[in-house]
Amino acid sequence: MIYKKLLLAEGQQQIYARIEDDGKCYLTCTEDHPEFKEWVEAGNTPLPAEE
Amino acid sequence: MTLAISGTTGITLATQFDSASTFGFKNRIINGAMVIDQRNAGAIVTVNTVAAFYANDRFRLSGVASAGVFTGQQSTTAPANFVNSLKITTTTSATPASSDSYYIVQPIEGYNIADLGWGTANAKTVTLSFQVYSSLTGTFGGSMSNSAVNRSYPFTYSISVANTWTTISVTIAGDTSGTWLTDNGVGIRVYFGLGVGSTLSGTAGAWAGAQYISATSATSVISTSGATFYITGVQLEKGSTATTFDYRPYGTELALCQRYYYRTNGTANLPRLAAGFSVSTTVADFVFSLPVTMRTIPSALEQSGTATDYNLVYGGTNANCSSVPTIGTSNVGTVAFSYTVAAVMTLGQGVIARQNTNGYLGWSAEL
Repeated sequence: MIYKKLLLAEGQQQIYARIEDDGKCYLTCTEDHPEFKEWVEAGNTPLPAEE
Repeated sequence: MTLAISGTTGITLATQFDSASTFGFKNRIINGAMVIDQRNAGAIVTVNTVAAFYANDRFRLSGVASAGVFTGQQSTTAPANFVNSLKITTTTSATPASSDSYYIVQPIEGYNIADLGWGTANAKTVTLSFQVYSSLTGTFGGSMSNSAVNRSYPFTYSISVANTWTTISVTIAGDTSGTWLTDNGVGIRVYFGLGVGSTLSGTAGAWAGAQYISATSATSVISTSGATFYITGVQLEKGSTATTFDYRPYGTELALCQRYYYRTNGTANLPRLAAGFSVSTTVADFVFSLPVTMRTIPSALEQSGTATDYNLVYGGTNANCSSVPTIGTSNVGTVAFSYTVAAVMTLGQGVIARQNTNGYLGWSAEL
């Protein structure tokens, strides 16, 4: 499981897609999401957004 | 029962009607009868790591990565006067290592236990009652703990006959120490151990300045492949006596659950979910009013993982989404989300969001 930044319009709150091992996204979140914060605190970095 | 009428003291109801716990909303547990399952509608949930898994609403399941595996499911196996339970089945057995923990937990919001006065000299006694049914017999364990996980009270209960509903009651003197939140954070965590290692197990029947999830030497459900464990009628009330279960109306129980999780479910006729407008030729934004104000602003949006489960109506026609819905800036009473389609819309165009039978949108504000 990884998180990936989503490309957004300028000024919008950054959101992230959680990509599961099957390659699908079942959840998007803000940086306030507790599980996302735990993942980042564990030393992980979200993948950049695709242009 | 005695009814006394006095010109001095007014009307006094003696015996059971005199109990502080007799009247409605005495139960601090939400969905104690296991009737609500917004996420799965009775489907099996596999618990194979340390994460937030939910079968029945409000009862979180947690396991261990690369070790034992169990499933949780809303079941129709239930004792008299109940229709549902939470069923646990061990699918891959394991002996818990010292710091491993497999458990069911309901974190109770601080607002809902504020009157217990825990952490003060006026701490009230509570009674936890529930009904259990298991393929195993023995002494099982659980605990109550605080938000900071530095105060806990392990307890035990006995199941002496396998595959028979057994009523359990555990009375606990309120904790006069520690910090117990009385806001929208975790007030009390109520744990039911399914296999807890020695580091997270403590002496039953006493408050401890540590985090214990269960009692020392309690029976481990996860250690027996195929073992089953059912629980329902979970009630936590003020006082030293377990009273009859507070069976609330379904709509009330659902609303109580929706403070922590809300899900929209689609149907075959693609019901209209929300009206919005296009912010580009490919993206449409929607704002959706929640039926219940959530505990906190939801920070994640769950969906089915399949873009074509979601459909957009625009300009007299419609199109399936080309990527899955995404969360927008939300609040406790309203949530925002976006649909993305191929470049078919005009900027500012009015649109309607729909979802098919497999589609859903779920927002969580669980503790």
